[in-house]
Amino acid sequence: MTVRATLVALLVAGAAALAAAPADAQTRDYWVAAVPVDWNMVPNERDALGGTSFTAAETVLPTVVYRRYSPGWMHPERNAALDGGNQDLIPGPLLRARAGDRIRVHFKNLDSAFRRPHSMHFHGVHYRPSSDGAYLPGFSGQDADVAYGRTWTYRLTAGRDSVGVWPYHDHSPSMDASIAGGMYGMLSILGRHDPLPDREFEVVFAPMGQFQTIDGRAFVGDTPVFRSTVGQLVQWDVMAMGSEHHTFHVHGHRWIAPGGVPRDTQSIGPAETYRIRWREESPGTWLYHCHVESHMNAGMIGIYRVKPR
Amino acid sequence: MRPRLLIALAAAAALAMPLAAHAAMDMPGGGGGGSGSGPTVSIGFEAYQPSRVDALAGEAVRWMNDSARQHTVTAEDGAYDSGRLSLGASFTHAYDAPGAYRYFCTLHPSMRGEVDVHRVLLVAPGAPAGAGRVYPLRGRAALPAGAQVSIEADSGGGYAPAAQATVGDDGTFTAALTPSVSASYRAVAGGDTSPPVEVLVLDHAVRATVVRGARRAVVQVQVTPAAPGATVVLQLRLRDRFGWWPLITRRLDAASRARFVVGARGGVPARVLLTLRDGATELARSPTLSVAPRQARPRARA
Repeated sequence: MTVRATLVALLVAGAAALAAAPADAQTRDYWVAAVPVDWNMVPNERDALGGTSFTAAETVLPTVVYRRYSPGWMHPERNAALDGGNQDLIPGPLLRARAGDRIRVHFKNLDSAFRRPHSMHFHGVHYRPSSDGAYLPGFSGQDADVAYGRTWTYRLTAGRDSVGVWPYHDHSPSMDASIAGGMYGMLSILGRHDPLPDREFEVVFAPMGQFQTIDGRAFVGDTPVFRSTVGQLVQWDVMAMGSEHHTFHVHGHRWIAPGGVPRDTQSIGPAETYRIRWREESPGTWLYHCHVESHMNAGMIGIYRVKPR
Repeated sequence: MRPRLLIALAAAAALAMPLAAHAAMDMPGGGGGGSGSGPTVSIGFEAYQPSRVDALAGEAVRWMNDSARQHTVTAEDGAYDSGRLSLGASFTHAYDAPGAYRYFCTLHPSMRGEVDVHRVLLVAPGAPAGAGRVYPLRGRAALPAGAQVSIEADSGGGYAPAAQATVGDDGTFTAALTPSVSASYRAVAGGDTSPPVEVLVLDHAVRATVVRGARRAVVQVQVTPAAPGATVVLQLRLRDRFGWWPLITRRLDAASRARFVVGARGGVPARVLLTLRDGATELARSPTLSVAPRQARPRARA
């Protein structure tokens, strides 16, 4: 066997081992649709820190988002549980799995407003090209160009190298407008024996309209108000979309980054993701925000409320 | 297409598009090369404002650099490039055909903008309408004089024809509406559909009553005059939302009523807004309500 062939064989064997399903692995089905919404980026119509007021004409963006559905796309469901702290519609539904699981994402394009093609492209997991969801003229297929009213099932596998938080987003010919309008979400993949967090918060830094938003919302009170209780295991799923870099900062807290380094601020670039965990011990109302100050002033700031035990 | 129609369209296009496919850069104080009838985009320090504009086919769009930095206006498809624009310099370009045209700044590539070009556009109404009263809805078209424009309305049940208008010699048209409820309007002509505009009818009243329980409050809403299918939003004034927060959105039923159920909260004011379908543009609001829990009756002493 040549050196090259040996390398290829080792790579294939390695990939197979990483993606191999343990005995207790599950197949998880998610039903998702692209749906039009009138999205209000500033529902309370004010920047309470800057003292600026807005009208709906300045803050409402007709757009398309990923929405969770019941099996067979029978009924729309909330993307996030009412009591979870995360808001509905942006980001798209959090797709949870454990290493070794197979994931089937059944996608339907219900974009009746713009009738653009859409797709779902997933980072961090294993799949064949027909589940890549990325448009490439002359090469890609229906997975990357799902027309209005059509469906596609993306078949993914969470490998051992998929543990963490990963983006998914539209990668169809409509990709630019879709991402600018909030068509993104996250996969949250745990190791087979990782403990479930008590609270899991999604934070997506992305520009939208004239604002710099967290989860499509700008300014304190409008961005998600995350809540926990002292003693709870808290997990922050942090991601950036768009073309700018951001820094995720939480007041009154520190966490241990890979390498054992304590941090209270994490730099994050487009499509990068971080899973940040700590055991909560700091009651109070705290700020979380992007520390790029022009971004913070344009809306990338929110509050985190911790109750004493 | 029939030759005579082609000739008519070509002639009309030539009349309507004096600047078609021409771009020009004009300097501070100069007269500029634009027709002046199209939209103007301000170039800021790190963004085009607004970043998306609607224009008619053949109409000149003008960009003005209002920032201290140099910028460019460069088509993503390479069709035009302003070159470097300093503070106060401007650039114009006209687009021939309907479509979405994206552009960016070559010096700051994160700055991006879009011009959506149409054959027919409605002018956003500057004032609300009175119910049952004639209201002129105006628009502009890149179509020959005499062309018919269909005006369609959607007040919650989908778009349906509402009026007709005829394009005048100056390319404008006016439709006489008699709206009874707020609705979105769009113009359809020449194989193109305009973006929608909203016509607000502001003479509605929102009456809300609260049935307070120990754990929950039921808010009953009645809107008059009837607006079945219209959107109502229950808002609470919440400390950690720093203002009025939309909690629940509902559509009015056939009797123009809606019902909200919320957990009872002391010291939290509530109100109900009638809005456009976006759930945000206010048309009318109820007086402020209390959704505090009902006080338990004190027990009679023996």
